[in-house]
Amino acid sequence: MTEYQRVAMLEPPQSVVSVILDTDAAAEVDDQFAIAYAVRCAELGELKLEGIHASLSDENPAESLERNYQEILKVLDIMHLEKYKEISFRGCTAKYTGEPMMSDAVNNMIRVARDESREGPLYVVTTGCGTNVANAIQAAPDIKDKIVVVWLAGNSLHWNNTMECNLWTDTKAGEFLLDCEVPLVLLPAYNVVSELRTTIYELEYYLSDKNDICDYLLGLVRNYKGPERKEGEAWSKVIWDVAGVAYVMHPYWFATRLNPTPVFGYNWINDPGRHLMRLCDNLKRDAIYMSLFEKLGGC
Amino acid sequence: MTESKRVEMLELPRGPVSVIIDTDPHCETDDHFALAYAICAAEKGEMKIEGFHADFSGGPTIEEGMKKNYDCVINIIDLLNLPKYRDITFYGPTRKFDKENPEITDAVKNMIRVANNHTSEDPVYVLGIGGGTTIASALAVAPEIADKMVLVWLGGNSLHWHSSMECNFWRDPAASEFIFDSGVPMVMIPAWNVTIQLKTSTFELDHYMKERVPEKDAVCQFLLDRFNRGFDPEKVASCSGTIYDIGAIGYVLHPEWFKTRLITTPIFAYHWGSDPYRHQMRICDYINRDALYMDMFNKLTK
Repeated sequence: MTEYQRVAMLEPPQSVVSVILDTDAAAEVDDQFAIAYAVRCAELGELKLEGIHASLSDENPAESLERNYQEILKVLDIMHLEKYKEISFRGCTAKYTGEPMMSDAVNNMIRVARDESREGPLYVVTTGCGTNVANAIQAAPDIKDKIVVVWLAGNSLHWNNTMECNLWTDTKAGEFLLDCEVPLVLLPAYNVVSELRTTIYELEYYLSDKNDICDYLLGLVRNYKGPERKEGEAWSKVIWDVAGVAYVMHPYWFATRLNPTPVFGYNWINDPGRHLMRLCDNLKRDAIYMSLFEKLGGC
Repeated sequence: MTESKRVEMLELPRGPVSVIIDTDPHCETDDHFALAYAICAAEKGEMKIEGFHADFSGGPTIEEGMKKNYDCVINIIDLLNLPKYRDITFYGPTRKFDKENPEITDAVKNMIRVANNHTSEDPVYVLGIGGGTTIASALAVAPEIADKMVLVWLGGNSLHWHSSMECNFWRDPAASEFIFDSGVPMVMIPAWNVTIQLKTSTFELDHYMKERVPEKDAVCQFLLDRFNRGFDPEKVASCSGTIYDIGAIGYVLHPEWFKTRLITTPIFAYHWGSDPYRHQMRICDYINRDALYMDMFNKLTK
């Protein structure tokens, strides 16, 4: 792929695009929001959802994968949209090794990517680690010029470290995605997606007494017990993963620019000669939340 | 001032410290929260306020805008029924900064007087949550105060941001340039993407500020009304609000909530200029929003 081809594919998505959501659904409480948001937008014809893929999310790869897959099915059950189960697939049961590992998710990603009837690239919105995407590209390198990976991973390039779960759960997959020259849109955690903060009080206003999925999502946040929820602080929650879904529908809510892809490390390594990626610096928090609330509550 | 002296003064504040607050509340909501938060902290003995200085903003003239800001400060003081703070509230500029002929306002006089009562070991922290006119003027008139004060200035944008464009730094660009060149020990708390993360909503404010002690009822109600003036839960552009200015107050109360580092002071311009030989300053990269907000809620309501 030439630099021009890559840059052309990294143009902000236009009109209704094809999307696969690759998610570690049960790892946190934000993926469920992203799944529900994506499915609802698909129902409304605002994106074309071609797969919901479960990824592994911790040091027990097979177990976490299964948990994440079941969580996808659970969200679909609650939404009474069982038909999306047909495009929900289990991903790889082990971290990326460099040798391609096949899985239902990898097969689906390759199959959809190669579909020549589609106009424009397939957007692989990755809200978990890079295992499935890395394996798909390793197994079928030809898909690199058919997909754009939108990945929530790492931190801003000026941040003093790259420590963020999606990048660090499977570091070999992360390194591969940054090196393999696939068109990549990077949505960093700090200080970019971290602006997608809300509170229980705001969620209650917009999601209470709407429908089953709103009740479920609200319950997840209420019961959240992550380390950043500290006694004696006015806790707020970042719903990270909706950013990836919002980007493919509303790219102009995101301030982005082309930047040489950094080299993976505990600290980002800058190499100005590397291939370009699209990097997000900032997002319109209120626009994203209002879209999310409208889609989730409007059924 | 030697580089080691400046770096020593840029060590994290160990409170309670003395502060001067330079503010432009008329146009925005966040200054009002910051002022009330600071006064409540001072009343609990966590800082000592030695001046409120009215910056200009809002017009129609510089002088009228400045007087409106002054009135806003007095309003917060009166809502808290603490008239003693009226005596340390001063008028700021009636014109923009002129290096050759700085305006000697009441605020400038107070800043010089207070700073001269401090030392490099016990500096006064000038919390700038408005433009730089008064601060630059005081430094131009009395350069010796630079080693008796630390400026904590909320404004500009992170150095990786595409521009420095932000109200506080650009209201009086000549003042900003003078301050960045002056060598005064400075802590910069940028808007994008740092204080921009200090987001809240009417729902969160209602939850934490609904119950309050009687003597703080009036100020809490005023702050809620003021916040809600710009808040419409049904409108995309305004469903959250950012209370930027509490960042500067929080820094001197609880610097441990602020992720900061020393950097070489950039050259002030629309695009930051870089010169690795310049003096050091401290810049903030991130704020523990949740801790800061809880502290503010506690101070405002208890």
